[in-house]
Amino acid sequence: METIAVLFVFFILVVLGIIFYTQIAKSNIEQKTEEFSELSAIQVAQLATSLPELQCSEQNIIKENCIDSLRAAAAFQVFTRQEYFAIFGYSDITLVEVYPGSGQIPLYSRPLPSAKSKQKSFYPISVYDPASTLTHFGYLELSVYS
Amino acid sequence: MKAQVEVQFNWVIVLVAGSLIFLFFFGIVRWVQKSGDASSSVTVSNYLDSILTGSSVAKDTISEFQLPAKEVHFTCTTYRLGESETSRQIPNKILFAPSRIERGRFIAWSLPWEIPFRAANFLYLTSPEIRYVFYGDPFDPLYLEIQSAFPAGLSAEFNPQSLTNTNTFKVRVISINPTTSNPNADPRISLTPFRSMENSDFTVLEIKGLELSRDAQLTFYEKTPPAVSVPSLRTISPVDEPTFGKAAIFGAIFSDSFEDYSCSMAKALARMRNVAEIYDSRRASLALHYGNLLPTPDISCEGVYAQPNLFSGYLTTDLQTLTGLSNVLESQNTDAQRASCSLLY
Repeated sequence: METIAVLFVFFILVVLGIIFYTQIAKSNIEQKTEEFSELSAIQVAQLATSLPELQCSEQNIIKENCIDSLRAAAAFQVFTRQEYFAIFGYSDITLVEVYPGSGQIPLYSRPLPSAKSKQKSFYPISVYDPASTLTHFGYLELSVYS
Repeated sequence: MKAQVEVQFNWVIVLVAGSLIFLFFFGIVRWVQKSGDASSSVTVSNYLDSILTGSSVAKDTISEFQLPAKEVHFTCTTYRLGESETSRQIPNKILFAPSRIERGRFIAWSLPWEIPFRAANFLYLTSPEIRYVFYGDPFDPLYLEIQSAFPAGLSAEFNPQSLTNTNTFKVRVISINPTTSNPNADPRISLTPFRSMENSDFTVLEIKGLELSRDAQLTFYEKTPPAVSVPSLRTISPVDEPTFGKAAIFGAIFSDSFEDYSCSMAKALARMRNVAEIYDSRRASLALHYGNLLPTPDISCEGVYAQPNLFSGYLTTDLQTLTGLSNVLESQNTDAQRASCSLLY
């Protein structure tokens, strides 16, 4: 009788230990999911600013952190195609010009209908206008849905 | 008597209870081990994803890294860690890699595909444990270009005296502008030391062309399976398959499967068409700009930009006809530069 009682208490303690372990594991998983989500947003920004569809270049010499405004103006229509979903996923990307002019050029928009969270980030960028050969200040506004 | 039976019965209960407790903990350990393996696999996959993204963004940069996975299998659109049952999709990258990389050491490299405008970034993944053997005329311009451009840090041999088995898990032989029409007749490529290797682990690529940045013709070969007593090479692609550009030629060097190479080039062509469409729209906007300049329109620049076929030809072309389009676009870009206009690309 005592043996059974001891075994009963022992298994109660083991079950409590397992519940405690799974709670900690769940918290770790949520933290890692958050980290991967932030990493994913950075990856989207990196890819967006390095695409030949947008990036400034002359004779294939690339200007880093620069987007060609005429390419950007034409990009929205092209970026609606399925192959760009694999690059950008569920996100909104807008090019915002700050100085000297002001304006917004939407580049990509595919929000997630029932998103639990939306991570917004801003990346300073220069905006080159090949018509006037002037470079303006701006930033890339990126919202990633998860 | 009753006491003896009772004692024995108690021992039986102790044995049964002990076994149940042992099985219970054994089950918990197995469950923790499985979830740990799955978690590790996801972490390694995400790490590899980040490296692939970073490498494709940092052009013409070679990076070496190690992964705990013993084996990674690649196709054009997926990769799979050796122990994992599930594949990870990589549809957004134009990747050229061998079908399998062992021993966890990787080298990543990326090059822009210029036709002549930059259409896409090609990402190459290989390993210093893979052996690359190049044969060609040491005075051939294409051979010399490939030799100087091939990344240091990879196991490359150029015109070795003899081909022996050094126990690498893959061997890739590249024959540049060969004088024989069939590599089986090439005395430099001896298959006997590699007879026990799997057919996909010993592959040969023939490249025919004049310059690295221009068009070339490729033929892919692989060795016959180990069961065949006299090993030989068999074609696994159409003969003299056309390609264009330095990035595409290196893509063929690093892909040991023609199927994966074709799949990646198909992705590249799709991207090329999208980039050409954007450039065409840019061209039209600039033609309008130069034509409406005040007080006087810039007729010479407008003349360069008003040509409608500069980029539209790329929307329907394939690899065979890229040379002509590329030559015209390069020439017009030079004209734009001479007239002090914004460049076409």
